[in-house]
Amino acid sequence: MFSDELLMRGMFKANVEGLPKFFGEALSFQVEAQCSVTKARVSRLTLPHSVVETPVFMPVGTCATLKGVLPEQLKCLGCEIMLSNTYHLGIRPGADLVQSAGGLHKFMNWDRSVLTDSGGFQMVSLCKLSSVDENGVTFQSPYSANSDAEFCSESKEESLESESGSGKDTMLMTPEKSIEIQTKLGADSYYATRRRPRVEEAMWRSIRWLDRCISAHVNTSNQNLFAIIQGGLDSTLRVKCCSEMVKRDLPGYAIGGLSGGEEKSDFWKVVSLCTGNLPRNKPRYCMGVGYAVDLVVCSALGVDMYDCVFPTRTARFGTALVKNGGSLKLTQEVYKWDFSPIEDDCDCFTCKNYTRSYLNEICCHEPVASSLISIHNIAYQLNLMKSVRESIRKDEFPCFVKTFMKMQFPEGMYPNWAVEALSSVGIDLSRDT
Amino acid sequence: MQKMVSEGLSKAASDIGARLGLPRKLQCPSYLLYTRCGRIPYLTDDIVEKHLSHLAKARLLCLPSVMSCLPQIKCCPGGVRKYLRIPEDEFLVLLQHDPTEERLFGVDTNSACCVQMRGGRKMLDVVEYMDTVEAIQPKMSHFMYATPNSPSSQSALRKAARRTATHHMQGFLLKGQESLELSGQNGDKRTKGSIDSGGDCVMADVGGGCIGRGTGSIEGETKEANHKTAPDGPNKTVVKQQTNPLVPSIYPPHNNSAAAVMGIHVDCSLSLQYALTHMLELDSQFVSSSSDILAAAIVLSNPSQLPISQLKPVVLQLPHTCVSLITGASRPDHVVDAVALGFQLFDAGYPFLLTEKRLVLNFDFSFGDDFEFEPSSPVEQTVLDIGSSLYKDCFEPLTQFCGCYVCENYSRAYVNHLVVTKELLGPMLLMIHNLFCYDKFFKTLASLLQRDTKDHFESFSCRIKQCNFAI
Repeated sequence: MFSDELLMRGMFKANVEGLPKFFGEALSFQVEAQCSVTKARVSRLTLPHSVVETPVFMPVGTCATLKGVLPEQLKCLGCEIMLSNTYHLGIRPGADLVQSAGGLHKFMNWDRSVLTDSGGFQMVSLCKLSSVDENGVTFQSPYSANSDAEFCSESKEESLESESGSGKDTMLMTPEKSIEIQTKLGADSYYATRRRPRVEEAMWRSIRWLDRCISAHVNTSNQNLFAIIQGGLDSTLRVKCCSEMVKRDLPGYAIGGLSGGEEKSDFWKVVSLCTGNLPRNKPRYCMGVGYAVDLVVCSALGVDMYDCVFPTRTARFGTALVKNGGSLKLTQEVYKWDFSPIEDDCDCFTCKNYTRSYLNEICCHEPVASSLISIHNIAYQLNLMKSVRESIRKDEFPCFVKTFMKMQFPEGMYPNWAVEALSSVGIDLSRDT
Repeated sequence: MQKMVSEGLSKAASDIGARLGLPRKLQCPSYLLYTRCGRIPYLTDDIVEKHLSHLAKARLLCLPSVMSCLPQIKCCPGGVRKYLRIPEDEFLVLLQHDPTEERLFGVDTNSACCVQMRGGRKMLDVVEYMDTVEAIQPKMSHFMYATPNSPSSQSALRKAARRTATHHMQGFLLKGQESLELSGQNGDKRTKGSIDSGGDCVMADVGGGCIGRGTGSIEGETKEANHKTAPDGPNKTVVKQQTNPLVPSIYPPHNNSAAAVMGIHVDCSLSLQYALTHMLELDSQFVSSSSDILAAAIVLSNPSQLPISQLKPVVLQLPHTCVSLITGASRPDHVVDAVALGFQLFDAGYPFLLTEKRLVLNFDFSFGDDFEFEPSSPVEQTVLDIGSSLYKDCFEPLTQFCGCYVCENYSRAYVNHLVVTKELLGPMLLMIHNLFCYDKFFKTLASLLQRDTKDHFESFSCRIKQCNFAI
């Protein structure tokens, strides 16, 4: 085995002949198996805090915590990397405080890898509270008394108290500021700030901001800066953006701008276009993707990394993710008398110890229900990715996909976009092979 | 007083496992884990098993949190312990009211009591109540009793006593041997002896008039009981109208091999005078000598208004050998007072109440070989408001002396961040820490009493009473 230090110095010798590999200062990426039909691949991503096998799903802990799940519970599920958010942590508790605590890992007691998003998605989710110019994005805090944001959950008195004296009702997020915050947080990977609407202008601005991020990125030996491909749904812009950003020779690339409710028929084409124009020897991360079908299809299209709040958020509303049919709404009356676990063959603590009936009784009433269903949903996502990887290694990925889709859609009503997307990489769902 | 304190401490330090027929020892003083629908609030069982494995193996279930899943419990293969995931060897107590919640007044009727569930109120009659006891199979519970419309009105208290007497009679008969058919408000019919709680300890409320002098037969008629009489015969059963609720009317039959009443329940939360009056009407000879009286439960709601020491006259009426439980007095300073009176079991509502208010217990309950209790923190910092901005950039552990999972791995700043951002992990970590400390408190108490060091107990007790426990 090679130490992390040797890997980071690029002294690792590849043991898989002919497959793409990359060795950077703070990251190495080795493709270990390639599907002979699709663009799916299994890779080993070595980061300063852990080794991650891809394709990988990264649970989201926006505010330095996965809601209702202890870090050690995540570890028990086999999670090697999770996500936190730059913008929200920059507001509360603040980057300086996290840095004083020894970084995000120490602050939240998580010793595996962390990835931080730049705050770019908040330009969408908090668009009513933000304004953009060449310099950066000015956010009005969603936690302030003057905010109209629907997700301002604190009382006005609490907001004023928490913000008093700090002058943090607004934040100007420049590329440099984003990098500064992420550097202080100490994540293993982080992302350049990007811009969304008015697509072409936004794309070029994103490239300019990327250059500013690169200039501001100082901790190259311990942290990795990924670029985020923009261009909306315009294929020309996407190709141009890929070309420009690849020139910057960064350790990894994310496919952004696809979490705004786009049609899936457009979504998959953009994903496929990007993976076709990004280096094969570097990780590709599709941001904000978390539905099981999306994960499998995008893996077929060559994506390596995913994140989404969906599994944990839907858990808090009493929905469990399952192989057969996709999901169970445990709040439904039918589960009141169901004394089986969420899934018989799931090894998670929830399925080993609690019945659907009990979860029906407590979900949406007792906070512990959120934890229990979140544990199961994260286990589901991680196990799904594990199954994807295993099938790629055995070169049985197309068969896996067909079986998976049959279980998700027992009546055979596959979404058109998925059929098209899979067909584009050689998987024909209409044929049983 | 000294003698009583010594006797009280001696009793408080006993093992009650054998007395109650439990599969394991239960060294007292001890506590019943406060649960909601069987779970310690906020904590999944894997966290409890890994970080709180030393907690007392005793659990409190409250009717409001389990009523709604009663039908499922009845249908679940493996029964209540399987459904709620409660270990088979754990001591289980079922109470009608939640000691952490405010009592509701003016909601009970002649035939039903109100249970405040999360989905709203449910009116429960005796048939349903006894069904619940049967389904839950607790080791200790009590017959249904009424709450008065007003805690301060004498007529309301008398009316509540009459209702309780009726509920107890019906419950007693369902559990007992008399020929009777009862119809519940939902049309459910149960007959005599149809409730099987396996010989577990069911307590009767002193207001119910079920405990006292009698001849072994029961005569009379009632206007209030909603039952029909059995045909004429040697077991004819009717109930005498309770014109004076202070007159006991029912006595467990001498030839009742499975005693229906095995304990005394005293609700002091509404009126100590009310409780005392009923206690003093008991047949003291029967009560003090009866080996059938296994347990006694005292219910309080606000010990700040009713000091524990005022319970002395009540305690003096209880059998010396009975297991004594007190609920609603879980704060450490109340616990030491109750221990001095001989109470052995408490509800662990205090750590939960602290957690609900996002407070941290910050008191070192350990002691050295010399049994000296050096102040480890100023008394005004016995409980910390961890959401305060004071702790925003404090990277020390929650407490310096605790040693729990939270203090070993997280800082005050992080827990402050979780509380300020209202993250679910916040109360999870607080619950782990507060329970860990609370358990340490009880272990210290038990250890002190085991060593028979009354002076050290008093020293510890004085130290505890200097503190401000906030709630």
